[in-house]
Amino acid sequence: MREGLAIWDIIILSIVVIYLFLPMVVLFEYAFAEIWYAYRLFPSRIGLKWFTWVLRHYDTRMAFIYSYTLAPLTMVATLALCIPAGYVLGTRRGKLSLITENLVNMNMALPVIVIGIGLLPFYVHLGLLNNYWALVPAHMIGAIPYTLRCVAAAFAQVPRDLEEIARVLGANRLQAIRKVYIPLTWRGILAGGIFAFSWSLNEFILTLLLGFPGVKTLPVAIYEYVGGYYLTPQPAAALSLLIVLPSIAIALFLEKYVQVSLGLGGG
Amino acid sequence: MEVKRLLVVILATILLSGIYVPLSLAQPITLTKKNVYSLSWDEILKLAKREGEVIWYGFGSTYERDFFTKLCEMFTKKYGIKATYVHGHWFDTVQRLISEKEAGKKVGGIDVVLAWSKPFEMAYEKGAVWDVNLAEIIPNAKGIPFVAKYFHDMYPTNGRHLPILAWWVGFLYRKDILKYPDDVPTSFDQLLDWVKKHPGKFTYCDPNKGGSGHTFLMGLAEWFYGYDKFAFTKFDEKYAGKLFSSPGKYGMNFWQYLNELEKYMYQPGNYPQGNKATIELFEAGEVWLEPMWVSITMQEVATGRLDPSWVGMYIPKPTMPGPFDGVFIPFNAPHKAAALVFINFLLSPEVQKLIPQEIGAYPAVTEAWKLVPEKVKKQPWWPINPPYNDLVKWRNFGPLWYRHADYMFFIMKKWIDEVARK
Amino acid sequence: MVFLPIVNVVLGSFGLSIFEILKGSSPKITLRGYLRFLNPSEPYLQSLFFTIYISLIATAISIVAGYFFAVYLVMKGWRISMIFTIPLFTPYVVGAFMWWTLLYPRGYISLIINGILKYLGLIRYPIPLVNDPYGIGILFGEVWIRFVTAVMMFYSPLQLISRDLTDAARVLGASTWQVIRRVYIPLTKYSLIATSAIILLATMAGVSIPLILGGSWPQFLNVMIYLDVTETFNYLSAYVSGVFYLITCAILGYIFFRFAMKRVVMQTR
Repeated sequence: MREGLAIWDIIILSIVVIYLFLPMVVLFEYAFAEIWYAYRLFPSRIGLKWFTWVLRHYDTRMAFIYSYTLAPLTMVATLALCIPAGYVLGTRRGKLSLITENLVNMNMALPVIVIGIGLLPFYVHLGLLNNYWALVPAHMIGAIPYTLRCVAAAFAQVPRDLEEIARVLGANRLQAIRKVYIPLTWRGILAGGIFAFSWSLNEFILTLLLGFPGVKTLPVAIYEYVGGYYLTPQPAAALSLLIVLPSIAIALFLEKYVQVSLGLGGG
Repeated sequence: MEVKRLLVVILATILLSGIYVPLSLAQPITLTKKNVYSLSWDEILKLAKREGEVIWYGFGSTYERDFFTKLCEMFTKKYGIKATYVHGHWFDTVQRLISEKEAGKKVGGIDVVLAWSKPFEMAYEKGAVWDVNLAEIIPNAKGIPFVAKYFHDMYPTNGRHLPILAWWVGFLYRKDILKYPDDVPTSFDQLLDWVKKHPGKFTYCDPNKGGSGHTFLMGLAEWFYGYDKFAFTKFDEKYAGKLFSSPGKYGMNFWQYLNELEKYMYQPGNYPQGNKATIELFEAGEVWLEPMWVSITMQEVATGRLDPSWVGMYIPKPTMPGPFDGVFIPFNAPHKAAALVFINFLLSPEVQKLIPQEIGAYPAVTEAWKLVPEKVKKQPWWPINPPYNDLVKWRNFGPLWYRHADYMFFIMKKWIDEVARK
Repeated sequence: MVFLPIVNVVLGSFGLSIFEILKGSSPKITLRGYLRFLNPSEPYLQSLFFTIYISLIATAISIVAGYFFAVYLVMKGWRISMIFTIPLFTPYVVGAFMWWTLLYPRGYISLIINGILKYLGLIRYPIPLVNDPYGIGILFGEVWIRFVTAVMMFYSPLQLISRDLTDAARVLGASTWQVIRRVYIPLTKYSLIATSAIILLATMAGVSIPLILGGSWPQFLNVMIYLDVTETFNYLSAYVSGVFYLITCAILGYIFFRFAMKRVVMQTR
């Protein structure tokens, strides 16, 4: 079915590619523009000023460390919770599982700031503000609905008989999970884990409210440049490139060497 | 035998008390709101050095953050007391203080907080502010205009909040196309005519998304109905509703005036969302006149977005009000004496004279303007029209108007219904 | 952990606080917040409708475009490269701001679109594409992210459909559109419904994009919540709005999952 590229293909692909990548082009422009008068189409002077500007601050440098350590922690903790839960929800699609899914999805529906002001009193009273470890549950709240859905869907796609066969052949539940399910569902689990990772990397409102001021992650650092009343997009763009480019590198690496296609199961 | 023992006891007691008494005198006094007024500044300074540290929470743009960090370094070098700057958001800081007050946390982690009227009011009403008249205690506060010391946006602070700088909004105009005073509305009276003559060349920021918008509307209201209607009056919602629906100028009420103005604005009905969006329209050449913060104008030139040859700034008659932003000390600050010394430092001439060149704001201490280098004063984002081009004259002879926080919020809320939704 | 914030929000909407109750002080229930919200002259109701309306449109566009693009890829036998997922890696705040720079009157996309429309004689003055009352800017920004999510979520189930089925259909004379309608859609119904639900909920809840790309009026409800809380410290309205969010999303979720449950039962596994 592999034909050459017809004119239609080029048009469709171009539209999609342009639509998706044009903001990235602007991102690059802002990151490198030392002088770019707004009435001009392109910068008149480019340089690395914004990169050095951004890396000057100690807490921005720390933000890299915080972000890239909180994200894997969140991913591991979320998966630890979601794999067993996903197993239950995925293999037994009863009423209870649908209700649980609905309740979990409700959190996704709430604007994060409402969750934030809901959580704030608890964190204050328990003295958990400005606490690195206390941010992990906060990050998990947003990650769980997506990850759970991915993992449950992955488990749901495995034919039920396989587990029974394994049981008949003498495996206990744990072995069944290890030897039957995991090899078949690891892609869905990985995808769920990637969601959790990227959610944590992107999460900023809860981190702003609860981790303030000592624990600053990269999105919070970026927000300082483009959030609220004060907008200086150039350092934000530079900082964003420092996040986006490694993420892309990781993604390409995964694709080439681990052959991860985006298997997200039945939705 | 007993006499000897008695003598020993008496001698011991005298000796011990000899040691004890000086020891008790040497105990560090904890600064409370009762004893702070009676201590001399030297004693406070000594206490501060013993405390050894001060933590300042601020907010603002990236330039302000850099400036405040530099100030902390200067302070540490000068006094040997370690000053740390934490850049955050006034909302979160005040949230935290209020939560700490409700939880009964007696010792916190913040010594000095930069805040404007609304968050200060929130903190003050919940008891999260150290209840001490800073204006009386801090020596360098003398140079601040009297009203600004005791009111912030007309909210009575009783000196618990001390301003350190003043942001100002002026009319930013295209100096290369329009000449002052002939081609621009030098007074609010001329604004409507000007926009009719130059349709699509004026805009202002959505007042709920940026300070330039709500400060401009406050100034407009003070002109429209007269400053006396707002100056330090107590806010009453019903009265405000009635006032703004009554005719002011041109036989229109305030909202009718704004709707009439809207017809001739840039993309009528589409208000730029935020200070940055507003100035971006100016930078792109889409509008020629808009109310804008002096500080943001300066920072846009510094980041290379705004062509400085385009930048002209003036303040229209009768005048524009402005906020004096400043600091307060939280009720549970762990280093109160150091906080006092730090605030005094912020108000010192060496710091005050840096404010205009570093962040484009006016110093709270008026006389410091004399120490600002001429080349800084000549930069295009400072208002050119007298008396605004000379801060000392302006502050001493007026007009110096303030914003009324409650009326301003009333205008902001009502604006959505009366102007945006129409 | 998941329920605590929800409980706090619901209680807060009535003016109650868990801590005050635990401490034993008498709670003062108030319906002031609800009365204000439901008052037609207040902006909240219109804001809620605007939020739902724009979110539905954004979801519809993302789902339709995403589904067809995924089908296109599957038919061609191409795989999705990870590069395609770059929009997901860009922080929302930055992505939203980049769209603003593209759509404001001097932005590239605004210049192109207004240029074309003017050339075709359809307009005389450039139309505002961002911060506008129709939510056009919000749509651009939201679809940008949701489209990618949609394609990612549709691709695998589509790809799992055996080639033999489509080949058989073609042999029997089906056109491409018929193949899509009769083979692909029925076999991926669950995925379609579930993905639509997720994307709709995510669009309704996201705040960065409407905050930066939306206009003065109407506003998204969660932008109003954000402003209520950070500008006027008006928690009561924020909690009440939060409750209405919960109710709306629960209703929408229920409708969707009602469908999903039917499909699940009917699908043979």
